[in-house]
Amino acid sequence: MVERRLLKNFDIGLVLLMLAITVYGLVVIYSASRGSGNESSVVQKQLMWAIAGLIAFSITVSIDHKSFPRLYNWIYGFNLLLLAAVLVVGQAHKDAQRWLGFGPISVQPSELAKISIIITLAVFLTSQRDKLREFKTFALSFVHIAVPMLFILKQPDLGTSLVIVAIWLGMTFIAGVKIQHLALFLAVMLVVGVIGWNTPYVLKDYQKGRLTSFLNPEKDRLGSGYHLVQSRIAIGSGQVTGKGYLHGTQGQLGFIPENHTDFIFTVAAEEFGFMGAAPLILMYLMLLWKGLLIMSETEDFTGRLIAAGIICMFLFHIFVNIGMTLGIMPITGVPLPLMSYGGSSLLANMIAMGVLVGVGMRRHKINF
Amino acid sequence: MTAKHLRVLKKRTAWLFVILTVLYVLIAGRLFYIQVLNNEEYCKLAVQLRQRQLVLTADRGTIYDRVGRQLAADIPTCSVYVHPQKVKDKFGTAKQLADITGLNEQSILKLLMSKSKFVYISRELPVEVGDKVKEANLTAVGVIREPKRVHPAGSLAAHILGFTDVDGKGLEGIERSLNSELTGQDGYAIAEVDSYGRVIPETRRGSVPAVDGYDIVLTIDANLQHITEEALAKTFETYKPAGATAIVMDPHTGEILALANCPTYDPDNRKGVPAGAWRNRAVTDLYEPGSTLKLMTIAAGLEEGIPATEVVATCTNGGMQIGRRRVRCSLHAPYMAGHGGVDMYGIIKHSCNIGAATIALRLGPDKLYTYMKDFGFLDKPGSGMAGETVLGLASPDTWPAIKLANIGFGQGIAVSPLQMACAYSVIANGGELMKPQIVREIRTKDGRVVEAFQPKVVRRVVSEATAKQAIEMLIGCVDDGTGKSSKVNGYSIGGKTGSAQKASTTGRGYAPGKYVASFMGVVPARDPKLVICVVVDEPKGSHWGATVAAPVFQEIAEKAMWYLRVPPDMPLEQDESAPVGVTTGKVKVKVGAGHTG
Repeated sequence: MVERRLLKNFDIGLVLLMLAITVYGLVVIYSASRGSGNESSVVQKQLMWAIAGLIAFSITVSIDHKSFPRLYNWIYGFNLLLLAAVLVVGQAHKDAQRWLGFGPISVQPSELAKISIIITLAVFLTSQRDKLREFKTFALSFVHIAVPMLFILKQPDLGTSLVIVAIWLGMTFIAGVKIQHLALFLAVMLVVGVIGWNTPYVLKDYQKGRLTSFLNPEKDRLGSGYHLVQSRIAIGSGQVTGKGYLHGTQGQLGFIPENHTDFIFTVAAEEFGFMGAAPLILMYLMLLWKGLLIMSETEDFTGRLIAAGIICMFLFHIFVNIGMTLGIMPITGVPLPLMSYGGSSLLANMIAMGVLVGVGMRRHKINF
Repeated sequence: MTAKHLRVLKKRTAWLFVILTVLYVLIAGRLFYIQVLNNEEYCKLAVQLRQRQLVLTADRGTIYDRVGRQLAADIPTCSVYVHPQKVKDKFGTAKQLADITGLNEQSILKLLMSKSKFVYISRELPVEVGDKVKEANLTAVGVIREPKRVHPAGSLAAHILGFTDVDGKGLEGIERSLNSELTGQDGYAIAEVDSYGRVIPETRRGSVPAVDGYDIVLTIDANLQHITEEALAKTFETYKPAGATAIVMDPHTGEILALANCPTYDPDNRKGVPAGAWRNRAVTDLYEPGSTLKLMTIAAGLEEGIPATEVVATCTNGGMQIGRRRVRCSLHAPYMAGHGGVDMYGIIKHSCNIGAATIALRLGPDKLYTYMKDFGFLDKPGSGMAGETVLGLASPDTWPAIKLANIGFGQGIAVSPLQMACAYSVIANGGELMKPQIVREIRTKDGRVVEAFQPKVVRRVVSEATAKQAIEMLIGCVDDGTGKSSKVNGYSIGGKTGSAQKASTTGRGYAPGKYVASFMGVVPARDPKLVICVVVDEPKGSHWGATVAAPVFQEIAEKAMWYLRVPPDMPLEQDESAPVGVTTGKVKVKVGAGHTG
């Protein structure tokens, strides 16, 4: 049970932001999936997941993160088990095997994996607290995330893999590893990236096309640059006041692909204009800012790192997704947290919010 | 936690605030730039992407016969296209399309694998098939309507109608000569499309409606046309000529009621048809008319005061010396040379070259030239059909006597079958040259008459008395002369045979064994309703007009009189072998009953 004195630190603002963005998402999902003929069932499904997410939120918010070290092996092991199961018995959709089916429900373990990794990495880094500036610790922390990440890369899910790397970079940075080690890692990544790019079969052609087309989307307007140009046109033509709810033209007429998942922001910006899109990114900013405040005020090292990981995850998702719709980031298939259609993502994000709010509740060390 | 470590932690936390701020400035700035500062450009692009100018296709006019039977019309067809790159399930789509259209699944799959943006799966499919494809609602597959020219009466009147190319532009016949009337004016509309290029109906606006092409009503009667084509086809089969033409004309109006050529073709299926088959020989091909032209010479003589019953010449085996050349009559039995003293009746009855030449010589070059011009041989007939040809004559000042004599019996002058039909109509209608007419009316799709063509008298050529006398001579020719094989039970027939040698292709003299056999006839002769003109080019087996051409006339005349319900003007002969209505040309043909001209 949550103790009464903890409720004093319960960040109700963060919860309201989460709910507001989720409802905003449901409203836009309805518009975006119109014309498919099953917009109602799409919204209903997402609503069910939101309710499930809220239940998960209340469970996680009540768990004291100080119990995580005891659960470390269970969480890490269960995560790997799920990811391995995806590779063995997972469901494939559009050339990627990412889902586990449970009757009518399918879940995407890679979404939940992000939270497992944040928690276990925080525990791991706390345990190595005195040796954080050693290279060995730094390298081990990478191995810690590399194992589940390889499973995810195999699906393949490049976007989530990159999110995990971003989480790891953020958490190790906040934990206080040597800047030189981080710089070295980035340099090695660059070299590996260049070699990998030029080695056949490492990246699929469509992945390469997506990654580069944002640099010059006009070059291949109808191929891999298509989504980027279309998205910008839709957002730009939304102008200041928008075209009106359900009256977007580009989104409604099928010019925006994946418009209820990856390009949900585009639909919102087209129909509600700058007046609707700016408050949305402002809400995300407030959410992140509040998260950062929790992090900076958390005295407990593990809690601080967990908060950092969650913030980095959200920041990466938000920046890469919105940046993609605005044409300043490559297409990596990263959903917009709490907004994009997708049950596992919504569930995972609400769990993450629960963990973050839980950390915030317990930010002060209790001295008996 | 050491103090140093705490400092690092604080510093790095502060850095995270900075990173967050920078990234946010980037996103918000970009959003502001796109939506607020630069939105006009994106609006324009959005409109460009969505808007299409739609062509509203105008219907091509329909061609009708004189009583409103469709001869050429557009029917709607459907063309199925696909945006191959947008097809997700290529195998499934190919299978479904194959099931609906009946096309080969593998070849459809090949089209779906294509790299192009737009591919036709199939064009000109029936509308029902197109509708089924639409119902199947396949991703990135579309159906558009396209008109297709069809000919409900098949090859009937093919040479008159002509045909169009795939884009509906007339290439031959009426389709060509009246192309601008038949072609409508396409309209335009602006509409929005979705990402597959499908039009959103509610967004259609600013349309300029299409103006349909005009309908054409021909002077042709489809039944007479059929009778004529059938009769001509028989002689075409029997005598295997290079070509053949038959024209049925109303002599009083100049209206062409039927016009047939052989060889012919099916305008709906022109593949492999030799180019010559779609030539409208009736107007494009010139020939030396031979004996059939003698009637014009005689009519000129009558008009110029030579009495019909004056014996103008004495025909002997030796022929007639003109300068250094000799004009002869045919040396073939039973109408061989040596007709003795002939008057105009005799000249026509026996087709006497010497008699016709004598009349020509008496008229002199200027007068004969004038009459040839008045009868219409030196001008394009102006029927409205494409490809009319005319050759004309050298100035009469330059004619030597032999040329004058030759023209008198139809040599040294080239005419088209249509010109001959017009000239015989002059005699049949009492002396006036009528402008030949193939188009009766031009009207809009909803029936408003745009232009109605009235019969047009070009000029009076001979007096009514002259024409009457000339008709009597034609009757004599059929009753008791070379034209016997054209007789129709119950009707007075006037006609003239022609069996002219063809000029050699080398330009000197005549080609041995190559003839144009023809027959020009009027029915009923004493109250002419129809002029029927039959020309057979290079028949094999016989070259006599009486054998090859007259039976065609006879069959057309007989059936046409029945079809037009023209009352008989002669007592019916109770001939067991040839009861009325069953008689065919073949029955009455007397082989060898002809005469060279």
